[in-house]
Amino acid sequence: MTLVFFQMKKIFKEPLFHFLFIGASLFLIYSLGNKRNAEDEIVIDNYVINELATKWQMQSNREPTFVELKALIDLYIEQEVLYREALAMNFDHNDEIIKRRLAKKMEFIADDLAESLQPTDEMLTAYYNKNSHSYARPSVYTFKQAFFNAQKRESALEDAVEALENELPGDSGDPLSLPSYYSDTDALKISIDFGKAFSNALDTLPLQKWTGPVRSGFGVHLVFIEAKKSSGIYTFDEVKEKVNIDYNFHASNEFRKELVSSLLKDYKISFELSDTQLKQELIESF
Amino acid sequence: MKSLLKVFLAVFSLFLINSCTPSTDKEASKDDIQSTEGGEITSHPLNNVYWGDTHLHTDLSMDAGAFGNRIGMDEAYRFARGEEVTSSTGLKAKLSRPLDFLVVADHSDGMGLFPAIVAQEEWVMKTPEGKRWRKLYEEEKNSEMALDIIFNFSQGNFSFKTNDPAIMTPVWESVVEAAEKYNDPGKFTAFIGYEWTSLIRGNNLHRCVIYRDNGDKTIGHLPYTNEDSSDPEDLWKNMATYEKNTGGQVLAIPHNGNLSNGMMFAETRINGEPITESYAKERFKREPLYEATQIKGDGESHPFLSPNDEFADFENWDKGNLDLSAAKTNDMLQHEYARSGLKLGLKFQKSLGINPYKYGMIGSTDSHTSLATADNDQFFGKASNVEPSKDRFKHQFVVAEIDTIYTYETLASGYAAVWAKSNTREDLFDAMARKETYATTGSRMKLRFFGGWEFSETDMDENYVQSGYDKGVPMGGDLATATADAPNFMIHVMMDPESGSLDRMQVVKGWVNNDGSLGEKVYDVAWSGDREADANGKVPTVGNSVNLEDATWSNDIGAAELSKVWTDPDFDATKESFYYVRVLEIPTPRWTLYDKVKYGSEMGPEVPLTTTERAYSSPIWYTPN
Repeated sequence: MTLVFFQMKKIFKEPLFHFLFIGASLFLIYSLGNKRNAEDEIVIDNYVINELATKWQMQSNREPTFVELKALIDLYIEQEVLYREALAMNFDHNDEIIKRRLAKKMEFIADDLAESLQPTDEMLTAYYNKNSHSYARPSVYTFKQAFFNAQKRESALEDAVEALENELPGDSGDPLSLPSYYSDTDALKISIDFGKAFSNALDTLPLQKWTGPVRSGFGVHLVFIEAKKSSGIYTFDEVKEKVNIDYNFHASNEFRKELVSSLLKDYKISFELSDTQLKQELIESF
Repeated sequence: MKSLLKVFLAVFSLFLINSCTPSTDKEASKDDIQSTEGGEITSHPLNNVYWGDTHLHTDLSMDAGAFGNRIGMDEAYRFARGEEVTSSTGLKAKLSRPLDFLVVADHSDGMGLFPAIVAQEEWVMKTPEGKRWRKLYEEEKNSEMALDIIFNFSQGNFSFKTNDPAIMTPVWESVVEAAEKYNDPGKFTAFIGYEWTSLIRGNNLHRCVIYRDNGDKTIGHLPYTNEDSSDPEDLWKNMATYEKNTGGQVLAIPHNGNLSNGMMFAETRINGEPITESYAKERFKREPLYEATQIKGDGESHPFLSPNDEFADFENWDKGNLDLSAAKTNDMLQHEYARSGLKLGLKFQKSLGINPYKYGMIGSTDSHTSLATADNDQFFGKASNVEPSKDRFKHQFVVAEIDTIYTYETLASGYAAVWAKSNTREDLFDAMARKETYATTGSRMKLRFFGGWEFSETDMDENYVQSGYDKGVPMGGDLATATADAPNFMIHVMMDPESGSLDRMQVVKGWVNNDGSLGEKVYDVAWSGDREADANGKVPTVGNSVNLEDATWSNDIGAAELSKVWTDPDFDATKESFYYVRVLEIPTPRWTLYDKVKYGSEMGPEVPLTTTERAYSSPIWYTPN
């Protein structure tokens, strides 16, 4: 609890929080302010004029003349009066397009809020710790491999198994223009060279002895793993930039989800369906 | 309203607290491995091959959005980097191996139009088509709306302008910002680019435009649109203006000549006049590459043009132009395919002294799903309405009076392979500009190709790459002045360990005769097993090991690698010529077979179930003194 309180205090100190708080207050005042306008009054203020003029300018690359501006205002008034009458007649209710548009607006606000969040190092570190599996290093191997070419042998597989009995199994292989010795090479590079199946197989094999056969897309191999360094995780400083990108990506998704579920707390979802089976299934699924 | 605000603030604070709570997970283990993250950029003096897609659409493209794409650039970059993302239809998607680079190339015309339709913005809603789309959107008829958009755009029927700077500027800024965010020099390159969607009566003249530069130079230069002009010469002027104003560099890559009804490699300019020296110079300079294979058809060769090439008939789309508003005729084909375009180029080399069609090859997807994948076992289709599902194969992709194209005809293709010193915008761009690239249909086979006069069998050793650069030129280059009777070529290909083994390696030669007529020949130069070439030099087919029940195959019939030092047996020093390499894999399962096995789709005999992945190198040219 202390921890949470401490962090709340820290949040209140964040300039970002101030910004959001002010933004939210403005939002509130603006929405109340709109209500205060009498329903039968259409105000043409600086804001309206600027909006109309700017839009005009973007399309025609010059300022509107007085006559043009007058025409824009006429259109604005026309739209405004129709809009208000439509609202008064509840035309906005159950209109699919208006529903989508307004729902989108809410999403945009949520996205803007999430985006304005510039995470602190502490937040990034916490995210990094929580998702450390995403910042795992690939394992690093030092190994020898010998390739048995199916194009040159009756049975590459049998030959490989047989070669394991030899004193130097590595010498029994066929040429392949990939190195026969890899020193300190990470699993990503190994899967680029030999394919994922091969590099995954290395993970399960014993060290310090010739072993196999191991399959790759090329065919059959024997391998001798000299050393394997367990993967571990990149340090925070090494991947900080990536953590930042990941954090922001997940933050906006999460924030939107959380917003919807908090809002839903005040709602009850009820199913009024004639198909009782479907109804039951749906109720269980929620 | 008050309660809503409370919720907003409550969620937001909660969210902050959650993010701050230290994880109970155990401490990251430290070890002694040398860091590669955040370190120096690895440089390869003899070049390394980098894989990417130069042609990907996200929900910013109006048609992609209309077809149901709901995921954007973040997902596109994350997917290309190898991370798992959720597709527009809710499927998990992940590449087996990450890509090294990506160009998000959304259509510049109507960039942001779709979001405007969704948002019912006034400027689009007051147009007749806006009204129509609104109705279709309202009725959830997304595909119908998409086709309506594409058809009317293709025919130049829009009643409004699609290049309004007020609409484009914020969208372009977001494109540049996303590329800047994900560009990670040395590890992953996010190029800044777009697609110029030129259409003349439904004939496809599209180009992807790619910048070498960062956001500081590109952010102020809005993408060029078909609304501005459908004439590539005007695009080149726009590119020249960009370079002059910023000191930056930009190139354009045309694609889908197969849907251009004879216009892609025409012998005239758009205005109908014959190609001039200055036209040829500009095209040569601005368009060093051609996208030879992608989802909408493979464009290397066509059986009508190459009757002696038994592999020319591969996933061709030859029913008509982009919207099937006009049917294809045979006389158009020579101006549509990569090989014949290269040949026509030689003719201009001979007559004008400059070759407008001197291009290298790359493949790319043209996927509209935000998912850059050309993998048959991970094919997300051309657009989000044909993401993996039981019956997608029979969906009608284009329906027109003259014909129908079905989704099963789309192919999981292709990738761009680039030989560059390091994985940065600058090095990759420079490699593309010098055409040291090749196309594949989705496999990642590793292909080296050098041309010269002094190569011998003994050069093909472990140092052959060094010898290749020392004694010759790599793919995309020009043969130096002759020092021998015939040029020779050092070619090496290694299979993709996650795809099929290799059937054969071929050299495709094209030339112009002294009377101006054009010639071509395909040589089998190396192949798997102990097959023997017949009297005409043709090697028998390799066989087929695909198991149609479970979509598996055996690589035993093909070779893991092939190499050859090959000398042209028919060299004529007086003839302009080019040479490029085509590699064929053994047959492997096509995406349709993976669908069939996974979903139990019931496909008729018209649906191909296997494919043979290919690589096409950039040519090496020979020009007589």
